Amino acid sequence: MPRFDRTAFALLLLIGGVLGAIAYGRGSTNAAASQVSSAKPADAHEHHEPADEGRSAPSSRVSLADLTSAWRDQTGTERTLTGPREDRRLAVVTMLYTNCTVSCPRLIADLKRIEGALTEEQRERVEFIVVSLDPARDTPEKLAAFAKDMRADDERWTFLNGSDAAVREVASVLRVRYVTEANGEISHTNRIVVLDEAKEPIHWQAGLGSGVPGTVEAIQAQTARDN
Amino acid sequence: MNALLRLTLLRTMPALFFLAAAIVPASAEAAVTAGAAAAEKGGAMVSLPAGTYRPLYGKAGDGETRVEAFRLDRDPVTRGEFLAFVRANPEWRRSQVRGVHADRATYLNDWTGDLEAGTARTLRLPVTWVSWSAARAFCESSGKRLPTVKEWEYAAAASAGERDASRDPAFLQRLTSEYARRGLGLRDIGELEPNAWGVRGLHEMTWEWVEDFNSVLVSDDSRGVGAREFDQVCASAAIGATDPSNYAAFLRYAVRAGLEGRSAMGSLGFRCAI
Repeated sequence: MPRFDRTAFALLLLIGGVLGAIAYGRGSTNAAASQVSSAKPADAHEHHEPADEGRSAPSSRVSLADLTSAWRDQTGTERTLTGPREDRRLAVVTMLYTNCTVSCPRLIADLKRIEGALTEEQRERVEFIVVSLDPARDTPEKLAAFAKDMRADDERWTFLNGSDAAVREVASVLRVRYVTEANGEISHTNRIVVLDEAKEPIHWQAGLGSGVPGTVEAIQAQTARDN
Repeated sequence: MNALLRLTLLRTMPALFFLAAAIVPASAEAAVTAGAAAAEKGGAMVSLPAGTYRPLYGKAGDGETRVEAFRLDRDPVTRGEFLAFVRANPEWRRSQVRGVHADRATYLNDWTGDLEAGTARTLRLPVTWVSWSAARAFCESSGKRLPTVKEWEYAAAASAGERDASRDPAFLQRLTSEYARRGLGLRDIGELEPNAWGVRGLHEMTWEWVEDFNSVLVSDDSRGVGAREFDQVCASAAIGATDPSNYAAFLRYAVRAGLEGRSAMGSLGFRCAI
């Protein structure tokens, strides 16, 4: 080959090599990115309502069904906080403890008022979940006795005992703040939270008493949506 | 050079170039991984003995609070360490994290990808934009946990020279200045002097997650417990501050009181304890 052709050829190869390096770098990043984004969440078959269009992807919504820690209910049976995934009931959740004498009985009273304000059909679709802030003293047996005392002992009511870490986690999601005082009492904020069938929070009741009608309305509206 | 050799060389040059093209990005990635590995080496812990300290919030008349012996990370958890964690635990990557554990709008906000946390130098900086759930999961993955408020405050009461400098006005003043620098850029941890316990960067880097951040019940009614209080909060104690002059502590508690488990901020990182 004539001299100038060889040099040109070498230069072309050099440019080709650089372009190849750039293309390879870009290609591998894209491949990695698409690999990650195409990994579907395990429960991609989740129930979708038409109103979901425009909302964020299922796995980024806040669902308490994604809390995987283990709990024991008042019968001593192990379960997750929101129970089996096939359970498509709404949930009305609160946190309290049995040795609490001032506001905790009122929290239970609020829950029972809510229960009473629903029709029998609506009641079938709701689970009342009470999480103990004091798992050391509120054993499943203690919770069963408490449930009986409060006449909240039918199948619709679940009282849960879990580890300190699990209780702390649920509180963080339900926006309940609590601290154990030096005298053993547990100071805590009063919250009742309604979860929909996907166990996503749809209503927050802060404080006692006056928020009950709003909570009842939220439950009735949600049960009406699926009819 | 004979003609055959020259021809062979010319014919293989394209292949050699593309081989180089394949190696160059791989070695760049190797450099990042090496940087990440170096950043992973952190992990040094300090042992703190049991002791007492005076918490900011408590019943009037409460004396000091006892803290049991524990171990605390000497330094905050770095981006490199967190990168290694999400590499090994895909469910904590930005594109896959569940909504209950983190808000996708803020989680690992300043990373350029699921596994792209910056250069070797950036990887040595404290990780921020992490939620409480993610921080807990990280600590759990290395057999540790987050420190409690008590433990963190106990460790942080120390200045360079004293184990309990919480009543030293000069120390408290310095803290307030440090907090005013939040968000103005992070220094290299090597530049910071350890405190009297040997822990670095508790005040100079970021706010830090604690296990029971939601144990901070800041009452907005400073007149004490009244009927309205019982409605919102079931609390038998008057939740007042024991030391109104400790503005630095107020700031720390205020930050904690405003957080949720899925919150993440550019000025909020963490370290682990055992």
